Amino acid sequence: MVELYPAFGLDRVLDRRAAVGLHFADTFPRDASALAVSNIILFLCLDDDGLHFSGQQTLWIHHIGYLFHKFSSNGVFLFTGGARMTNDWSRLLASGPSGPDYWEYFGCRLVEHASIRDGARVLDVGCGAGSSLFPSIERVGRAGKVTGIDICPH
Amino acid sequence: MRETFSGIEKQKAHNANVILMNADHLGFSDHTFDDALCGFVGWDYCYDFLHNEFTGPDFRMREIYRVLRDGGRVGLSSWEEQADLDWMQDILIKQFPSIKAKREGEASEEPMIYSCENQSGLEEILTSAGFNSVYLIRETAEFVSPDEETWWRQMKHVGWHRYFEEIGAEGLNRFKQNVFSALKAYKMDDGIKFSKTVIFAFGEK
Repeated sequence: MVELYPAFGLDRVLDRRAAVGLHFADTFPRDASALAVSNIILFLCLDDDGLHFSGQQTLWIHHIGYLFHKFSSNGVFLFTGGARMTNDWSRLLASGPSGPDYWEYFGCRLVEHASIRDGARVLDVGCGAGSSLFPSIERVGRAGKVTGIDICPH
Repeated sequence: MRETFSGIEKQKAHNANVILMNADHLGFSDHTFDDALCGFVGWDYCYDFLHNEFTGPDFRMREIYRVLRDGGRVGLSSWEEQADLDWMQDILIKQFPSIKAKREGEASEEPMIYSCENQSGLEEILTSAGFNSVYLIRETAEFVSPDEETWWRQMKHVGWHRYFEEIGAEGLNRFKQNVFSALKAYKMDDGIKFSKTVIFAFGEK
């Protein structure tokens, strides 16, 4: 689930409060750790119960976006979590209020046309709300791996 | 920290992660991926689809090429036409000519709502980055919204809000009324129907 990028210099992790103290203390998830590493923000969601993306969690994502822009215009931001979080996220994005379903439709079509093989390592550039990412996860199966990147945290 | 990481690793049920990263500088080694997808990202940052020529270096596609293994494939999707957005843009400009005038004054090359791209441009973008066996697929699909309000909410998610701010609350209300009244022409038995056309482009390293 989690990939560690040694280049991130995790040994130089700053105190978590540096990030929490910024602006989003109220909506900061209970079991999460935010680690600011020079101009890199690493954010790990560790909630065993999954994140339930209520209105509050959506707000929380907006705050991450703020944090990213504030600290890390040239940095890298890693957002990841456990399997159940992925599921919840997937559900939100598949049926959520955040956009019309044509993204989802054409996202699926892209994956279908791309003839991706079982077990493939897939990079989704500009994965956005995951309209190609989630069909790719299905497509590659357990042996595969899908990495989504986006410059915008929303 | 160590415990935390091993805790997450135990949950390795799904092989996926999401990273916030600028696509112009991918933080991956060469030959890392079998496939790369790129859905509706838009290539107008370096390519002029009106004159079909590059306006700057295409770092993004070069990076995608670099991180793909030999024989790896890229697939991208791009809007050729979104009837609803084009239609709404016409109404907006008619009602608020100042928006268009302002854009022209700023000589803005950014698309008003979405980057409208074409087949030959996408082909050139892929071949210029080094991809072979390039092929394109064009698809049109119709989308139905159950009612005007749902349709309006959906439209607000695709970039219109910046103009909404510009025309103010009252202007927005008038605009919404105009749009709803004109929408009647697109209302079918099952809802409001618009078509969208997408180009899918593929290439092999």
